[in-house]
Amino acid sequence: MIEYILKRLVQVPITLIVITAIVFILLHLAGNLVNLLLPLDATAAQRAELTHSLHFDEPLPLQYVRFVGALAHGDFGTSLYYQRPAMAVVLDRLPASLELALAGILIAIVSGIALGILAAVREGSVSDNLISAVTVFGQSMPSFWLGIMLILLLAVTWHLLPTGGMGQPSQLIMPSITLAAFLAPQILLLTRSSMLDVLHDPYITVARSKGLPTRIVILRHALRNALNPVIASVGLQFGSLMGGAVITETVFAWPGLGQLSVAAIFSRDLPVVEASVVVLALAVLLANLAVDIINAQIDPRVRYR
Amino acid sequence: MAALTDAGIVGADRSPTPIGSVRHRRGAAARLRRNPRLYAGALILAIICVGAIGAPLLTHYSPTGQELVNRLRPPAWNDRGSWAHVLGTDTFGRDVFSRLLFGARYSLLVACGAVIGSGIIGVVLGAIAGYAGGWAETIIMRAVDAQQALSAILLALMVAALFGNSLLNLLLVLAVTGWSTYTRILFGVVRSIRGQEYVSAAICLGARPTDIVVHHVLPNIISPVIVISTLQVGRMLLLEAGLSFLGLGVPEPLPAWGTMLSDGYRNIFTASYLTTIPGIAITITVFGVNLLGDGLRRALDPHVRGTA
Repeated sequence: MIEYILKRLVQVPITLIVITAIVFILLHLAGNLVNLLLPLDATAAQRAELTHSLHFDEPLPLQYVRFVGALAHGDFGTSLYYQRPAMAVVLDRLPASLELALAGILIAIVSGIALGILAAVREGSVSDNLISAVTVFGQSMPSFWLGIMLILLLAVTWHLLPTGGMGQPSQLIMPSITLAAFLAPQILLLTRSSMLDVLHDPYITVARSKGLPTRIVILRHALRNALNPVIASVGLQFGSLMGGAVITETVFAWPGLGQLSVAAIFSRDLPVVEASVVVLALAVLLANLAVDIINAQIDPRVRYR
Repeated sequence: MAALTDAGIVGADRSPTPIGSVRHRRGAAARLRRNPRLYAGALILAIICVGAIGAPLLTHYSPTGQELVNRLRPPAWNDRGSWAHVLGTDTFGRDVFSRLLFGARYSLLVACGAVIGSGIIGVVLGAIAGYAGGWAETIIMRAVDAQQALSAILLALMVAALFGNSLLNLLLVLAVTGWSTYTRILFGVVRSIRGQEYVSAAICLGARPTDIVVHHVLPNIISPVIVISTLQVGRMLLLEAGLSFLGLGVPEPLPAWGTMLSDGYRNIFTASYLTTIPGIAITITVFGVNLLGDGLRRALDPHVRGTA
């Protein structure tokens, strides 16, 4: 087990290096960043000064080494907009994003697994077909559009919830449902299909023939084995979830990392862009790692693959 | 009779219905018939394609023609609406129905173009990683990890913001974010094909790697590629809508659905139909694509045949 964890731990920094390389290359492919950062009427001296202070006059490999070296210390430079260390700006916004992501994941997992079990147990029934149809339809909706529709219905028409912002629990409801709507269908479909696989296994027949109540057979015997692929997919989807959060946060004016990175991209606040991309990627990698370890803990076969 | 029977037996011995034979195809046709999702999805998409292609015949309004006198007219079913503009007009007095029909062209072209681009990159890299193994595998699969940790929308945002938004940039951005799905799945498929005995046999007979890839690997990955591509079209439509919403999609005044949606969002409290209508169009199209993809998967993937 420890060997497996170590093997997976080694992959995290490698992947991070690839990510920083992608970010670095993208930023440098974009042409002369100094021109993007300075107003059009900046003098040649101002350009030269900024070029020098950002180390853009050095060879690319050296710039990359400097970039990675600074990253290792969590130093992304000073935000051009906030005039504070970019990392501090990003870390300020992280708790809000985590709160929204956790609420969304929780809703998605609970509703996805519960409805997935229901659909699998009643395979072929009206409720199964209804759940499957609604799920595929839900997957087809742009999630931010669902958010906008929720605002129109619950906030504008019925005045039940605030349109956006953060602070009160009621403000968390719509953004987390919007985020969950993105993830829940996948969890549901996967729970359903993997439950169906397991429910036809001989050990379930044995459990039933022992006279165990259906509830115990399903929750204790079947679900435990059916959950592995579900957990693995939640990990894989975490990256897309963070992406979904970027737009959801914008729709609901949720002051998280997603909203910050969109604003930073538009104001060309590159240190903040870099910091938020790397922090988001690290969050995804750590989530994947955690999921892999949980999976290896539940299912010993995973460790030997 | 005996000769015929013998010939039949010999013939059967020689060809145990290889993939692509008549019998296999007939089986596939029968499965298609038993597969209502496939037909429902194909029908929805056919209607949308007819609307997109026949747009100039279905409406006499130009999608970009402005009629400022008639701006923000609600749809016909509203009290203030009129049948002259069935789905109403936007802030510039442009006919929403016409923009919806012509917008289907841009949205579908962008999505399909991005899928073709990302498909080519993803399939080639997946085949290399799965077939060659070793260093190539390590580098490609770590890049896949990195790509999947760097959420598509953020990467797309960075590229779009740095390089500006044009139709071509949008296509490139979407292609760049979509390849890893192909690579991850095809890597597994190709690696399992490479381990098959008939591939070892071909190698023993002196087949070159290119021969093996062309004759043995490619025919076997066509089904998964078709299924992934179909589902990816839906994903790209949603991503395009998301990017447009953030202001980085198909540039104005071209009428793509995502652009219409984000435009409408600015008037959400006064003219909510400008947001609702393109959203419904996107949802129905992606629904059709997902049904078609799911139907194709059930028809082409032997593992799910029983559950179709």
